[in-house]
Amino acid sequence: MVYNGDEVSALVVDFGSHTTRAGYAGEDCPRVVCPSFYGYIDDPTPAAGSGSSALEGEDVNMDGDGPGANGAAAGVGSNGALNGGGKRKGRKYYVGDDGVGVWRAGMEVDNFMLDGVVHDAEPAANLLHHILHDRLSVDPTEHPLMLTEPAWNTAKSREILAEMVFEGEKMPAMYFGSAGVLSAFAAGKPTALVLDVGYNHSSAVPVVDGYALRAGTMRQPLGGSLLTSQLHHHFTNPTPTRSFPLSLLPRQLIAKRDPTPEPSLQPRPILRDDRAPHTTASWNLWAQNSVIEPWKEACAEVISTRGFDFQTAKDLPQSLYEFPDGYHQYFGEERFRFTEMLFDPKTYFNQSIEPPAPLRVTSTTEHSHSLKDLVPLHQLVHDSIMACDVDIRASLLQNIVVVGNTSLTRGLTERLDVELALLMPSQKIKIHSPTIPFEKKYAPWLGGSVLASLGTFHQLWVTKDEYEEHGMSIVHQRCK
Amino acid sequence: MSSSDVRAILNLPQAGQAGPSQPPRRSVPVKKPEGISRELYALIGDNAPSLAEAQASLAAFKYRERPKLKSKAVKWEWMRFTPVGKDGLGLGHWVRSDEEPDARVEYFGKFNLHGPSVMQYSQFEYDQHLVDPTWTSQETAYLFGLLREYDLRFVVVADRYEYAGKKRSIEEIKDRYYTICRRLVRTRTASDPQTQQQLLQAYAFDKARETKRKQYASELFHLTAAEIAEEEALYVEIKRMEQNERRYRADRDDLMRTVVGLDSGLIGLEQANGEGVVGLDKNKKRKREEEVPTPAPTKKQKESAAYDLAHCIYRLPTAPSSATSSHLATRHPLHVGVHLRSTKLPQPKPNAAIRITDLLGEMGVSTQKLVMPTRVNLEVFERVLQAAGGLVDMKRQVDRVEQEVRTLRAQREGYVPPTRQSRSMSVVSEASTRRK
Repeated sequence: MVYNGDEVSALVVDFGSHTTRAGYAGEDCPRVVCPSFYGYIDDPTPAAGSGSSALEGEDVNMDGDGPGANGAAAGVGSNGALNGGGKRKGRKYYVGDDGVGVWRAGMEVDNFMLDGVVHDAEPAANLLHHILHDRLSVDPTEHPLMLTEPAWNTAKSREILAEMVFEGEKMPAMYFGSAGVLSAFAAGKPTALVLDVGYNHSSAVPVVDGYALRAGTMRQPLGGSLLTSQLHHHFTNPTPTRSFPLSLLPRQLIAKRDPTPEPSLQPRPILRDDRAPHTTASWNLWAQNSVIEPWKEACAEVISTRGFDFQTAKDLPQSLYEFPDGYHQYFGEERFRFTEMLFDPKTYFNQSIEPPAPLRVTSTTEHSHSLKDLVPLHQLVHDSIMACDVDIRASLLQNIVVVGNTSLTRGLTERLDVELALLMPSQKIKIHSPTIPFEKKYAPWLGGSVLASLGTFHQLWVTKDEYEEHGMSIVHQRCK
Repeated sequence: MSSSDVRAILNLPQAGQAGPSQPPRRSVPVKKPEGISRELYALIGDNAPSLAEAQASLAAFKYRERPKLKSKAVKWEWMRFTPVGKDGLGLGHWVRSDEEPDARVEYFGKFNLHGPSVMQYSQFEYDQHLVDPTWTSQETAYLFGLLREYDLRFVVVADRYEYAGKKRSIEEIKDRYYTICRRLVRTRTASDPQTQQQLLQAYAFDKARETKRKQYASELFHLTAAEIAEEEALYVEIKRMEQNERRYRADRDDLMRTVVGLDSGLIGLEQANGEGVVGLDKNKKRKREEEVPTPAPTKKQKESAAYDLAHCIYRLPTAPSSATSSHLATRHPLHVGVHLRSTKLPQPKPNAAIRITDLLGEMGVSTQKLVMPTRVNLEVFERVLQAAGGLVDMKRQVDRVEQEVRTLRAQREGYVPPTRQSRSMSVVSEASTRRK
């Protein structure tokens, strides 16, 4: 009576730049996927509970925008207020699906991830608490926890997380799985080059026998976030074919929409004037980005064989898309022009547009490129492989695993194949990319789920006792 | 209402009854077959359709019986357990209650093994044998620690290596480790010298060569498309050339077979190419060997000559290899296979074969077969053929000469000296013309 896994009901939590994934080990899909963005309201008078409830009372009037949002958000908010009693007194956090997605007067939006690592302990702890108690409804003291970390994770971030897990949630054991290694495991490969094209970063991590090689780890802030910011500029400015800027109004701010039968006409929706004055700039930006993101998912494509050029751009297929404010248009070359940035950042990345602030943190080092000197994805793969020993290059080239949400862009994998073949014509290249979307999106989580459910893995857990006895050194020693 | 009633109503004769004479009603009804309702049976009577029978047979069909589970459903319990080697960690998992609780833990525990064992050394051994100016004792210890941690995965070890802010290449690490291993194997007393040798072989590592190999490999990594195309073109070219060579060799073999009569006298091209310089030397040696014994026949040879004579063995004289003869001839002396003498009768000269055959036929000698084709007879026969040939030739010459003589004689007989008469005539005619 021995099967593959030995179920110890471990939990796997994967903190990402855009979303955080969580679920039980051994399952094939995360139970909880919620944004890593969080909302907060700084209350100048910590004791004024009535004021905040009045603000939330406004929320109830929302028509169909997140059913049951009120209760959950308020609960988390109070939890956040309890947990975050440290440095920012009176700050109220709104995390999870009903956190940032719900309009609240004066709510600011931020992200606890920076440069791919958890840098803000308080909201992260709030989110973990929300996931464990409100979403999974488990008793944390009974379940060991597997956390993912990027290959370039800092000791400080590990400390934050370990403290959060052992001291905050009192979980019995934990382990840090390197995201690259876990993605390789999810693809069923002990040796692979993992190209993760995510929200904030695209990173290439060579994995050999289940160990991520530091020498070949490369990252750059070229991902979904940068694409969105470029698109944001494109949509909010008039173009030769469109004489007016798009409003990019989110549904939360629109009261009523008039039907616009003709495409490419400026819509005139009726706004919720009561909300507009209380909306913060950060929430507005977040909401506009979340208007652009579905457009990106629906329309954006990469020309898979040859590169993009403006001469042939007119002949490319068009597709109709409608924004929440009612504006709709047949989109043509925009669908291809911006994604071309992934493979030709020198030409198609407009540096004059101000990039999102979190992306500017990444500086140019041996293992990373800053915004100033972005390289194409295939170049990133190439550099990463070239930094490795010559004997393992061939096996890495034949096991390129492409994951990450932005890698779901149609044609990206095919284009990468073409470009790599041009770059290294003498080598045999094989790209493995999961065909099921969620396997691409949640690859590190999936790998963690596989690893934590193995009966042979249990020796690697860092237990609470060990942590209390040895401190962080045991974590660094075990999670290598 | 039975079928007889229906028939009675419709004024039909009763089934099975001929004529109007009606028998008394059967008071005893036929027994109703199984699987048919009473009313229906009353309607259709004993003309029961086959369906009813089929139904009856269906009813008789026995389905497989439901398994009778005597045992109760297995109970699974949520058990606390401690993974092997992890004291103090209370994890829980589901265990069958009939299974002994620790079986699974131990089952997975046996996979918690480490990789290949890393060589160990003592400080004494280090001081005695393992000192290296480029490595300190502490750094060596650090290296061995890393090797143990990563189970001798040199790629990973080189990646993680950082001793006092210094990195080392894979080659350096491998060189250090394998050198230490070799020294330790050599110094430690081994029970079996053979295994010791094997171990030494296994730990062999040539750093310079490895570095060079990696350098070449990385140079090969970046071939441009043009270079690859060139390489491929060259490959195709060499294939073509090989094919040409093969065809040429086949042609030459054919030619040699027809001309010299060698079956496969030529060495293959590949062999020739493969031998190269060494092959040349070998040939020279063979030639020298051949040359040496010929000038002075030894005693042994004389003895064998006497033996041959006594037993009627006749040896063909070996053709002297002269410098002028072709290399083919020297390497492969004319080889004649074993054959019956009668099959190789000397043939008359082809240019006069018919006349020689005729001539010999006149004398009663057949050129086609020879009774008793002994060596002597053959020699005689050949001489006869030669003589006949000579005779025929001579005859031909004589004939020609005679013919010449005859023509000359005929010329002489009919010879009219053309000198005086004709000249005077011409003079006369000339004169006459002048006179005119």
